[in-house]
Amino acid sequence: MVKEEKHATVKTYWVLAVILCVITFVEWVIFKFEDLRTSAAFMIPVLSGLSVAKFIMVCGWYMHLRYDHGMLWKIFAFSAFLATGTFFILFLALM
Amino acid sequence: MSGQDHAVHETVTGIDNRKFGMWILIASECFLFGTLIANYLINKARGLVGPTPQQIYDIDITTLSTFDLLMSSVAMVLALHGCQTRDIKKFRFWTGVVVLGGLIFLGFQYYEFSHFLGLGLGLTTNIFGSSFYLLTGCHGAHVFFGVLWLSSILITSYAKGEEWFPSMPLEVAGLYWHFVDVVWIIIFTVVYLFVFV
Repeated sequence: MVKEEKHATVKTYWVLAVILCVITFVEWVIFKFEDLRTSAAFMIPVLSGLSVAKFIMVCGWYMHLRYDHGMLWKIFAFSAFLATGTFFILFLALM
Repeated sequence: MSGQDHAVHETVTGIDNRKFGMWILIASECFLFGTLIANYLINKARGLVGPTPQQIYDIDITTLSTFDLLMSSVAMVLALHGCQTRDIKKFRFWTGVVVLGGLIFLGFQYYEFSHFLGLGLGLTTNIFGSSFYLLTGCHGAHVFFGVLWLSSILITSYAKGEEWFPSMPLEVAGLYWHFVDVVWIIIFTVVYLFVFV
């Protein structure tokens, strides 16, 4: 007995590739503004948001989490949540 | 072109065990890199002697290596697509592109490390250097392993002939490769772009 899986189309992969490149280019351009790159209030939310967008695109489409078994998504989300928690606990405890 | 379908054998979980195992590995790797990134952020400004990150980072070069790694991820999905549609030329070509992308990334990293050593930042120069080389070196080692893994699939493809389409092994290797890319997305932002924050 088999289970069917669906993947994104090749066109979707290329569209995502262009978006990933554009986002990386935007990040680079933002960094080039000397007034902006020293502003934590601007850099942290904006660049974190762009980074999360790239993260979601690669995980969701290239790693097929969007189309795959729901258990895989849960395993990854749970581990990413715990890793982020570990990160903040370490950061806050040792800073 | 419509979405591509392919079949996997049923298991207790409903997921191929090789793929399931890779996701468990990826879950554990999240902790590894989460800890290494936290270690870097805590220690990057604690160096008692220079050089500091602000003095030595070259964001232009790092942005190019980020483009390279992102494009190797695109090549990876195209290689898998070629394998699943039994298109041997596409499968081999794009797998080769992924390997080349990985080697170019390692070349960028070799250049960066050599440049930093030239500027006086060694592994034991200061705590910033130690945490930086530990984090980026660990990521580079993952890229190197991915290059070896995908090269072995490519070489095996030539050895076994044009009727060998290792869809699941390539998908598992691809998951690993994309994860390495995802980790770099975070490192690029947190380590390099936040250098003045």
